[in-house]
Amino acid sequence: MFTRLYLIILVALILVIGVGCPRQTQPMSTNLTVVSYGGGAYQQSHIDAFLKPFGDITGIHMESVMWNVEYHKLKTMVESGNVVWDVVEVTDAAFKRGKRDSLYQPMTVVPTDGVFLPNTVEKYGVANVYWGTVIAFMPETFRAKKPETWKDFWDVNKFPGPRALYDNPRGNLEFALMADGVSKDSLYPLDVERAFKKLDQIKPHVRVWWNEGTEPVQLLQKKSVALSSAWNGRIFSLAQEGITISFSWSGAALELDWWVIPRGSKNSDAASRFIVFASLPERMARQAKLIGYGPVNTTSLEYLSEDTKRQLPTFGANWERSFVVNSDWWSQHEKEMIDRWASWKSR
Amino acid sequence: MGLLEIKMKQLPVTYAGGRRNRSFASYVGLLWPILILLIGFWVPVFVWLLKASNPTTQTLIYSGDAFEKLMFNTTKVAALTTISSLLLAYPLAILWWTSGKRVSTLIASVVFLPLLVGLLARNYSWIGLLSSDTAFSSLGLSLIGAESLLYTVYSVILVMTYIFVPIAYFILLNALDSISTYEIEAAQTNGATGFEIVTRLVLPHTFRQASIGGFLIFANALGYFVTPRMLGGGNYDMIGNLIWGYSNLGDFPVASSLATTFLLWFSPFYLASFVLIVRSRKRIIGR
Repeated sequence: MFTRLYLIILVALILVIGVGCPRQTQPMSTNLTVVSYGGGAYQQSHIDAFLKPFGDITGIHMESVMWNVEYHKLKTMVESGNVVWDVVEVTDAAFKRGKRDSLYQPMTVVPTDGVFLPNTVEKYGVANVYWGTVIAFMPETFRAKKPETWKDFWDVNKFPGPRALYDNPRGNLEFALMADGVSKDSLYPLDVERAFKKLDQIKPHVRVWWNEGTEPVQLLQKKSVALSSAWNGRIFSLAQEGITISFSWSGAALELDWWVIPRGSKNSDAASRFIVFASLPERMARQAKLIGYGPVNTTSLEYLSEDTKRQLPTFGANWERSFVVNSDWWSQHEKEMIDRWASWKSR
Repeated sequence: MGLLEIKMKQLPVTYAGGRRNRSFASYVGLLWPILILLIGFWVPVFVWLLKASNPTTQTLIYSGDAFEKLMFNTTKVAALTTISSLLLAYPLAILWWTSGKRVSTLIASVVFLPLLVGLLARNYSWIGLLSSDTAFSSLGLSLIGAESLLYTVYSVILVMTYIFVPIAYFILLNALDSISTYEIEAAQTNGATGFEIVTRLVLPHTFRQASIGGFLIFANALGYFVTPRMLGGGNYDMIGNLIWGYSNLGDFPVASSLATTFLLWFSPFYLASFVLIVRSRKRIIGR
């Protein structure tokens, strides 16, 4: 009696596991998994501008996933041979690192429609947008004098209140150096010791180390913090909903993101076609309207209003005041810096 | 023949028979949970040791400077969570045990209902509750001074306590059941006050099970990392956050040596709780 019951349970368990597994081990050729850097409004802009229309035209079932460019996650996936992602968005630094580690596979087709910014179309990937990390605050928090620069961010007497920063050394080291008086043109190679020393000063005032792009704007809105670094696209998309968050382009960190196909993807042809589709001028314009990041296909600017163009990181005046994160330096030092960041934060 | 005699006579027979006649199939049927537990413990530990003792890294014991501070924070948070969970669960369990049906149903539902909601949702709702600029505060429901509590070590302990109170509560219920109502009545007729009954009868009776519950909560709380991160804002991370961070980076040798060091660090504690649980079997089953 008992043994029969256990046998039934065992068989049922095996069946459940057996039925659940094929999705994992045999990816269907009609599925395309696209991985975006960051969730929330940004992931939604990818879904609306690229994934949905591409799925409608081709009939391919599109799957949207988010990650935070945890480089080794991708490395482990490629090395294990069980590649479940088809198109992945990576930072410029991760793009360079990945090419060295041969994590990506060449595209079968490349985009040709429109005029691209220099060095944004390559054999192993196509760039998508320039995005910016800016100083953000609620307009009512600082009415008389508004924080402009990273020096102001570090100045807790002039601009009192708790702070929030991205839980990642990339960008923050540069911000610390600028707060310490280094000009944005002479940041690299980074003086790491000096940067961490300056970060020591702000650390007691950092209430939250955020991990997700949606966090800083929420923290500001809830008044949990007075000042935060934030991705400009999140502020842009909130403005579309009528919520105003003030920010400054001064000393903003600009970064380029790339679409790549991980080596071992079973759908590299469909993945390449998706990347070409996502690089079309109209598609990039649609994304810019949703999230306010600077498209690398400059032809797409023709589809945008003057007001939208002015808010992009690639707009002349914004570009002049900000700096581009040096991906060569970061692709060489990222791992070492992340280790140091972890131990610095817990000290 | 009295009822007791029948029981005494039957018990050894069925017990011995059950043991001798157990077939191979029934062994398989009964042992698979043990197998799963053994695999679930030893395989990861083996992999940690393998990864951590990788000849290129040689970092079996993690020695980064982040470790000590995080270890101290982890122990502190887990210990305070355990103590406050037990302190909250005792009155709840005693009230449930002594009150009528209506009140005890209310208490049971208060303890049960939060278990139906996912951990992440409970963390988020606490963030909302403690934030100053949310629906709660506009209704005047925000706790006094709560805003200054959020993103501190206190909010981490508060929410972790909230998560662990049901466990402490259920374990204490079981312990309270072992106290006979005659003992309470005897104490009352001898003029013991309610306070005396709790301190001199209930606490000694439930001490052993309460400490098992405490060990369970402490061991569980040690491994927490989502709640500390969400409610602590990244300033009150626990050792789990560090392990999680390194495995996210794909730095498995460091993650493994951290996990190994963690296990070694707390092995005396695990051993002590193991002995306690083995001993308590004797009291519960009688052999």
